[in-house]
Amino acid sequence: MVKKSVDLIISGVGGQGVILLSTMIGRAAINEGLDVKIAETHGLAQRGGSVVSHVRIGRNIFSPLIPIGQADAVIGLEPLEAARYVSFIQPGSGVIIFNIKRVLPLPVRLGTESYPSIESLITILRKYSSCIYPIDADQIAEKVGNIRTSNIVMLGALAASLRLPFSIESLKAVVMRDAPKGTENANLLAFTLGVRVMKHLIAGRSL
Amino acid sequence: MGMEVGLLTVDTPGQRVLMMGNVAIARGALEAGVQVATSYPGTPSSEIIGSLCQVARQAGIYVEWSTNEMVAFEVAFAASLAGVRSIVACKHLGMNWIADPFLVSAYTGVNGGLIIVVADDPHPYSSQNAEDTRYYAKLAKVPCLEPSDVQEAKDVMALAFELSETLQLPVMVRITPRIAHTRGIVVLGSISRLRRKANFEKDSTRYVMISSNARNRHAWLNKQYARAAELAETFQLNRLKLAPGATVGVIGCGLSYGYVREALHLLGAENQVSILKLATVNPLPTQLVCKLLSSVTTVLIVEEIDPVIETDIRSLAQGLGLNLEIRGRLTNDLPRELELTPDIVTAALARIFGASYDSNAASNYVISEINNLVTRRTPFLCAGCPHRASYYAIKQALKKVNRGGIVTGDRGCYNQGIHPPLKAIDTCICMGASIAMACGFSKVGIEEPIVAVIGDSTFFHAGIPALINAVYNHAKVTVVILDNGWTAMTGHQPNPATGITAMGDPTKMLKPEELAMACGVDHVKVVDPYNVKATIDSIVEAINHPEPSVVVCRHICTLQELRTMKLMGIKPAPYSVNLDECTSCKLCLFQLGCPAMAAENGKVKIDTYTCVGCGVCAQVCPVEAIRRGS
Ligand code: SF4
Ligand code: SF4
Repeated sequence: MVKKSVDLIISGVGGQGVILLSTMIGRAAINEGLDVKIAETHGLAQRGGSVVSHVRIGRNIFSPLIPIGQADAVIGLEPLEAARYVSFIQPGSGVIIFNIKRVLPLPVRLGTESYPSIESLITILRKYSSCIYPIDADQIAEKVGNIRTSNIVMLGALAASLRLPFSIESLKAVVMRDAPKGTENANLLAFTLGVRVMKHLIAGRSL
Repeated sequence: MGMEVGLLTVDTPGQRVLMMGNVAIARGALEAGVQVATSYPGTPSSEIIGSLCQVARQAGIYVEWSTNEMVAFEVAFAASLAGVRSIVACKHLGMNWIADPFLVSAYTGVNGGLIIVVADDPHPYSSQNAEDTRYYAKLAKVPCLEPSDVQEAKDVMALAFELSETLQLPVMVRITPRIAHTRGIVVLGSISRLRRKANFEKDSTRYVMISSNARNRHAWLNKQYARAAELAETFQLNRLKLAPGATVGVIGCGLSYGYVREALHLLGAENQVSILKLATVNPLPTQLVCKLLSSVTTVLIVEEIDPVIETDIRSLAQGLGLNLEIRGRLTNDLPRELELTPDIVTAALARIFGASYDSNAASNYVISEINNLVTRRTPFLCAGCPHRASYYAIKQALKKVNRGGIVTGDRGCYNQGIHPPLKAIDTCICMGASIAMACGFSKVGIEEPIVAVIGDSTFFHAGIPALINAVYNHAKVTVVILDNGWTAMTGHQPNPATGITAMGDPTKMLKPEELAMACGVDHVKVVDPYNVKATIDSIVEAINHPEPSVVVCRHICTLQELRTMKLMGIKPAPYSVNLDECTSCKLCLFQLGCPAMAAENGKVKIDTYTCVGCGVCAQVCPVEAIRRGS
């Protein structure tokens, strides 16, 4: 079977911007004349639940859901949420990019369950792929001066992973256009820093 | 959704845009000249009317959030009888409410096209069950259509309106979250500017459905239903592709067709299978189906939720004496529960080919390893949610009264009260059941206090008749109305407690306490749940009252409060724990489970980014170690 689409899983916790990121990628795809389907699972409107979207880009997409083991990348806006959907990743070649900032589930906050260490998560994720990129997106967003841009940092990182069927610039253009008024510069900077950090990580690996 | 709503009214036919399925349905309705749209919000259907109401004025149409789905249907039905095109949108459980007038509307017939868009929830992701609403179409003998993707979700609307007017029957359009909440590319058509003048032509033989009329109309309906089956044969969105020499056929209903295509691609079997893409799931285009059935020896039927079509096709095949193998859910080739996925369909097809499909053999072991590591993340009440304070007060009040207690719940954000540490509700069945079930418990000799909790919107939807029942039948129950002023769970739609309509007009703000008094409840109190002591006291008092009693816990939904504060430039003033005074009893954490709090090194810590400053935890702390500021 020839793979005929680029498939991404974007996951996180309600309120982190999973839908925003998927829609931005979708808009970039449409600008390139590609077909795109984005299946969102958000459940209820409250915050705190697990949110995931399947983003599929190609010439002619059939199913809105990505088959298991087919995703080119999993982008987790939260470490646990990245791990949760790892079965979708293409074993070996798929990239896993995640923000290391943890959002503790309720039982963890109550102290009745524990949150696995990032190291143990990475150890398991490695069984799937060697392309694992933990990113401290919150720290970068703080540097940008707008903590809410941490998701755009992650988008920049995804763009730099070169798994998308369009250029970093096309995605950047959408970020510029779609960013809420007054936050364009912060978002642009966040995106650029995301690109940069990912390039560093990739270069680091190949050394 | 914001940006997409802007796309609802642009008149640029041919433009390719990215749209959520629900918004595409709204767009399709506008392109088809819809004039009335009604609904009661319900995930995953809410964005259909939620987007239409934002453009209603501009488009010159009428849109409302009705008090419940039955009312929504009846409003749209009347509009249809007066000749204008109308839609009603709801989730599958809403269809249960619509059932009563819906089944009769098939007898009266309609005039202007009337479409009911129903969003089923096969998994289910956000519902109490996973019923298959196509049974209602069969029950009522009306056509049911299923679009296969987001583009068709738009396109099916114009076709459905036409069909509805040709047959004079309401038409059901059935979707699932994978249409409703999928964004895909839509090529826009042109917006209809035609506005029909409403005109109700009286005809008591149709519109006054006494039994003698019903007898005549029953025969009419059967005739129309037969005609619907004929029209299904040539329905535009059905497609039969016979592969030369193929012995295997597949029928993909609606969205499932996408999974079938994906599966065939994964298996590299695209040219070895004959496919019928089916949009008219009720009634079936029997000739079209037979063409497929008679050309193959095995057919797989792929449809979401129950084997509805599969059962029909079995009886069809038997009637025609066709000797072929019919596979699907009845043969366990597809599972009976949860939503379909491309993997499930691929595995089923592979089995038919005598092959096996193991998407990711290595993964199973690792997956279980990950599942062991990855804790579940259930949604919870927001930091500062007034419901949390109300639940705390109810539990404390029951403790004080010290006779046990049963808390019947209802449908809304406050469902989340089921999770630890609150564990505050004992039942949650359907809209309005809290009060009526409380009546039931009180009538069977249960000695414990019985408390029903119900939100404002749910109270208007279905709570009022039950409250009247409590009064009328002397049910000794306490009803706590959680009035946060919005229908919050489904995305903050306004309701009669909000004081604004779907179209943004100011309207009379209804107060649950006034309605409760009008229902005959003598003991009615209103409190702000952020005032913990007053709330506990009011509930204790209400429980001790010998007749039905009502406590309205009124505080606006925190998310909405924060939005207003942001507009006004007010920042929340978070609380913090004074570590010197904190005795580490962790009562605040274990009684409230506020997402702003976490146990850290044996102490409780409040996250200043998350805390909204409601101050409830400060009132729970026995040593007053929690204070505003850092
Ligand atoms: S949306 Fe409003 S009502 Fe719902 S949990 Fe959040 S604060 Fe509470
Ligand atoms: S004041 Fe206490 S209960 Fe309220 S939001 Fe802050 S931490 Fe949560």
